[in-house]
Amino acid sequence: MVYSLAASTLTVAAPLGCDAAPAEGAEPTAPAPRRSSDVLVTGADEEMLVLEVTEANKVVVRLPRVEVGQGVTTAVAMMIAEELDARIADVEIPLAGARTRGNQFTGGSSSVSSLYGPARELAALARAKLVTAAAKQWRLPARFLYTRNTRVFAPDGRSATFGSLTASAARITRPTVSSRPKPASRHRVIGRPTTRIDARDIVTGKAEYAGDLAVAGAKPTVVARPPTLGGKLVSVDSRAARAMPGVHAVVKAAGGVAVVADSFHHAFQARDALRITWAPGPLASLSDAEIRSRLRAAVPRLGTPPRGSTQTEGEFEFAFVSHAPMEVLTAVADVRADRAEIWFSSQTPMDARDSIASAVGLPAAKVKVHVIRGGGSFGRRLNHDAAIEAALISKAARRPVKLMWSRADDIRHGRMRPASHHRIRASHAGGRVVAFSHVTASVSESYEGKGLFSAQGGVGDAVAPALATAAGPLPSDDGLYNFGRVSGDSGSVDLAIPLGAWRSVDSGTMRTAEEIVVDEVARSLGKDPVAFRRITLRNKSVKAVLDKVAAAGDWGRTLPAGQAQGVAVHEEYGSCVACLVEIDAGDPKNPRVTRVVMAADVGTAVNPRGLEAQLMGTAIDGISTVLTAGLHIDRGAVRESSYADFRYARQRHAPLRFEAHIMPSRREPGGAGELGVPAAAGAVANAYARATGTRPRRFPLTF
Amino acid sequence: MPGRPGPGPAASRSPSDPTSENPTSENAISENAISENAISENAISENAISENAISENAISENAISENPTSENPTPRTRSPGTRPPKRVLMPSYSFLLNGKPVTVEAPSDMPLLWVLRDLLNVTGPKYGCGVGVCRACTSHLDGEEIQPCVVRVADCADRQVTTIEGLADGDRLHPVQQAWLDCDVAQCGFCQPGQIMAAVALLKKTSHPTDADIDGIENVCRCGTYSRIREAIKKAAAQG
Repeated sequence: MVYSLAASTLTVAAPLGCDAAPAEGAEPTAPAPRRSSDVLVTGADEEMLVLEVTEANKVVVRLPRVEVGQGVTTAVAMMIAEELDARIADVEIPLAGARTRGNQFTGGSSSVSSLYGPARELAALARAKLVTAAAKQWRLPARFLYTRNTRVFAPDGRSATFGSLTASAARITRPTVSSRPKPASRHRVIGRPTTRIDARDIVTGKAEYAGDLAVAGAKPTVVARPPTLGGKLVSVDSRAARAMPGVHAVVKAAGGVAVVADSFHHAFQARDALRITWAPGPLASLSDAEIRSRLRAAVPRLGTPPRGSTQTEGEFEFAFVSHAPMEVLTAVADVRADRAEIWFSSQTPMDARDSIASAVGLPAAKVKVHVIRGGGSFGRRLNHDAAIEAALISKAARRPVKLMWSRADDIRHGRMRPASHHRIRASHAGGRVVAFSHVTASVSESYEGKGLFSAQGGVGDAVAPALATAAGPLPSDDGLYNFGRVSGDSGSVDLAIPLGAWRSVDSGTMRTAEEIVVDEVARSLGKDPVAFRRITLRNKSVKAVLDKVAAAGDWGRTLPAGQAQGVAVHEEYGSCVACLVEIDAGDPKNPRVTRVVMAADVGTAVNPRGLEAQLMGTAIDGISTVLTAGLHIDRGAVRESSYADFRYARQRHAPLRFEAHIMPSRREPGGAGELGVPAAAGAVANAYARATGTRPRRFPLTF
Repeated sequence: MPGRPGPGPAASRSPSDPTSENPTSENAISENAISENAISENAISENAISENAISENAISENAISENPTSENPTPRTRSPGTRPPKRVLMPSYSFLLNGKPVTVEAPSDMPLLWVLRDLLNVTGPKYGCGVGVCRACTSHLDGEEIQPCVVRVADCADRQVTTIEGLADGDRLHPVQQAWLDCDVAQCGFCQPGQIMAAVALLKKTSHPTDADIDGIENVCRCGTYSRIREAIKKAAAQG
């Protein structure tokens, strides 16, 4: 259903799909593809995707999602351009501020699938009205007219821009041509590799992130934080700091002590001049070894294997991993006695508004949240810790502030992917797997750890329970493989550690571990890993992506000693993916992934170029989390504090060759942003195992 | 690493001193008289005032607020009479920024990054770590690659600073920027100004860089765009 809104220019609105995205992100097993009919229809325009054709011949769609690099603005611009026959350069996709109702959640790889129907319906209706308006103006039958390049054309060659027709089109109630979206066979924009609409702004330095905003009077602000997680402020002597030049205010913040200054240089210097006594946090006696042993103890028992079967078993450990987006958490806040305005990058702006309102004691209606593009997220901006903190500091300091977490703040004070422990057993008999069991335990964020930020900076009710649960039904439950009786269970260890959903959530650890076991079962059965998967995978689409990487990656080719190939597959979000990796582990302590070949079936790939970019990113996630990037906890504190020691891949760790193959499909789009992580991680681990003759068990491997 | 500057002193310092976000201040030549006593105009006029004054070492519910004691009376107006007695003028530094002369008043040890971003509103160079290891701020000083987060403004005096904003010739993109567009390199985009400036510096040293040369680029891209960065550098080199 598409509505028309009263306006002097042509404005149409479509209800926005409110699918079960959060649950999908949290329950990777959900095998059912997303349903496009699963939409929330309400009557108010603030709940909808709204398209406006301006008199300046621009098509503006204010998007209720955040752009953090995943390319959602480009994908939506393509959908709009497709149905309107508009030039993509004439389509603008600003980010909508927090609304009061509807689906404004960016996560669970759900944006494209949830917007695909509404965006196209919206544009198709707008096109029908523009054509009808032109037909009236020219006194021609509407069916003779056609649209191209943001214009309506008549057979005699006359044309009119959409902008010149928008006012008359706004008065059309019943278009005389079809307002239904095109069939896929007529798509000329959707499916065509397209460069990001913001690429030029990015390469010229014009793209604005929260820290680049010039909000009147908002002064640079940093916070002195405790050395340990959850450490508490005992006392502070701020005299020296306040006497320093350029310092405007020193106020208590929930996480420590905030300094507001003329520049971030002044703010950091004054922060370092604070004399603070901290009480250690609740985990001050806890280190990695103990966390690992508690996790091991919390893993539920594996059941009894089928009588007469042979077992292939593995225990796997994954360290905590920081999200570490390039842009540290940044929020501009202007909190007044009767209203507040906040600018930041948020995947959950509606929850953020409510949390900020309650933190500063204002009604939600008085809090305005502007959503700003983010410099990466990977799940980190589901939480709004920094925005709440900025609002409280603005309130206490009685002035607008531009709060920035330092990189050390970001890495040391969370959030992070929880550490986890896995025990997996494949039981085989007669050359095939007859039972598969996966029991696991992961750290969950305990109530005592949920200070102000965890309780209020977390994700909304819709998401929180799913994220808080250590593990839902196991990924293997979805029947990816014909493994006979599949079972699983999960436990958790509650700790006061700030956690967050990390790209691909539980699948990033659980499915990675399972793909390693699949390789080990193949080895025990004397079978080739690709051949074994081909005969045990259930879904034809998964077999097809596996075949694609095996062919494109020349699976089985001879490599020098110390080098090997590895593969893994994954299915989630209504999509599937395979990854083939070649690794040079001649120096096992310093392995280099030299080549990555991925193939994905995501249904309709709206922007194949953007999809390739997402797969490329997940390949780097797999390489980093399996080989080098993790966090240590030493006596209640995170040891790492920058990219110098949180060793995310750099150019010299990235594959020299990368290729992505996108399977043709007419299905509606599935999810893609997180899809590749488990396959890439599994393939890297399997390649490393084959190159070194070892069994990878604890990640990252060189930690 | 052939053809590439190795990690600077800041990069090697940070692992051993990961807490510092202000590495330049550690090594700054002592100019205490200037940096500690100078008070900028803004600081005087815009000091936040809060009512909840508290005793020295205790934190009460709310703001720490201005120091209630009168040891260091906080000036609240521009009136010269209220300035601290030891006030001296802030040093000023002139340099060419993207071809245009600029002069800033700043403490000598203020990192160029914050001079650019907070004083001059040139926001292309990004903060990603403050210790020279992520290189999101990479820019050029007299045509050589630098990380402005670990270069003091005093060291830029009378020199040429080029940021991403100064790379294009009007509307005509630099060939490396064009290659970045052609290869659709960017994802979130935050590191890309630095990546592009690093690539330009590399190509200046080595017109046809090898894979090993490109591997020497230290700039972190958390989105993982490395393959396209490699492709774009090779494309720019081929056209160069």
